[in-house]
Amino acid sequence: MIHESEYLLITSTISSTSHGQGYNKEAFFIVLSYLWGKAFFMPFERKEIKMKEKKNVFKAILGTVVLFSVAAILLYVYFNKNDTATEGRKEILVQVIVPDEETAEFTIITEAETLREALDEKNLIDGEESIYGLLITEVNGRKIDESKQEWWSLTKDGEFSEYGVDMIKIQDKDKYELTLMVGY
Amino acid sequence: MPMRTKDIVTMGIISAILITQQVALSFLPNIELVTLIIILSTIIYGWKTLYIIYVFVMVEGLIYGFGIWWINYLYVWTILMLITMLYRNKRSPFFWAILAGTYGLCFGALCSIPYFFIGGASMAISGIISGIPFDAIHCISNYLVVLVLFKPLLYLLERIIKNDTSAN
Repeated sequence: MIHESEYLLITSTISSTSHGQGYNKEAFFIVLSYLWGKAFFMPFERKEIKMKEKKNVFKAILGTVVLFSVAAILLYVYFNKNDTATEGRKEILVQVIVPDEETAEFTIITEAETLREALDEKNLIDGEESIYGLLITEVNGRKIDESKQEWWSLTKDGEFSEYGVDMIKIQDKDKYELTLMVGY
Repeated sequence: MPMRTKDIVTMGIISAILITQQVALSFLPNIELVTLIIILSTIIYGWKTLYIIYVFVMVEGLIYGFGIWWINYLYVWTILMLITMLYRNKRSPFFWAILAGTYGLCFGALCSIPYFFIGGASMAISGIISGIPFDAIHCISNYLVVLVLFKPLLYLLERIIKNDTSAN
């Protein structure tokens, strides 16, 4: 295939060598040798372009695989880092902390595996289901006021929880705090 | 960055698109077109994208309230713009899809910076870990959105600009 710039080169070569008297032998040989040279090198050029394309495809696949592998590893670590629940009967303490109010304490004796199951047994929490689990909107009858940017924070022994209530596996003598926070 | 009337109108329209799509897609967790639009805008308009980003951030604050998340917004999108500026000449949709995916995966970590100062390292780290599922979804959705929409939208934007320039 002749590129537009090459077409211009050929026509300008013909016109510069023909001196307005039609095509002559000189112009014909220049153009012919150029096209022959191009035809000769074309397979090499094509090979080079193909190699480059192959390299780019390889890079794209490699980049995608690396990216999704990192995401998969992080998810694997996230879902496997979680502790397992103590089997059988256990006793946990749940504190409900609302600023400027007295802290309410609930001792829950349960055979539940997750914190949500244990809290549900006592009807302590309510919320909205999401693909990430329950978003707590109400604890011990105290609903959050979204207009005031209130939300319930879940901590275990004062440390922020890395998991939601659905995913926390409870163990005997665990202590959790549900604190009403203001401001996102 | 000299601004002409046309630039002000263009920046305004892109900011409006950015805000509208964010609100429209807000019910989908971490599935957004903000990353794609900022990448495209940076490729086309360069530093002028800063206007778009900060109009967007300001309006988001007015809609959702100026919380800690808003402090994150003050720098996270600018970081994306700066990274895009480094590779502005790249046109491979795979390149931008991988970059957008990586950005989505790091989004939680970037947003946890203020928490280092508020609640210390434990708060920041627990924030990063608890956000892993969100970041993974963000990574995949960013990758797919950019892979599918980057080329056609860039083509359209470049055509609009070309027509616009030839009209002058």
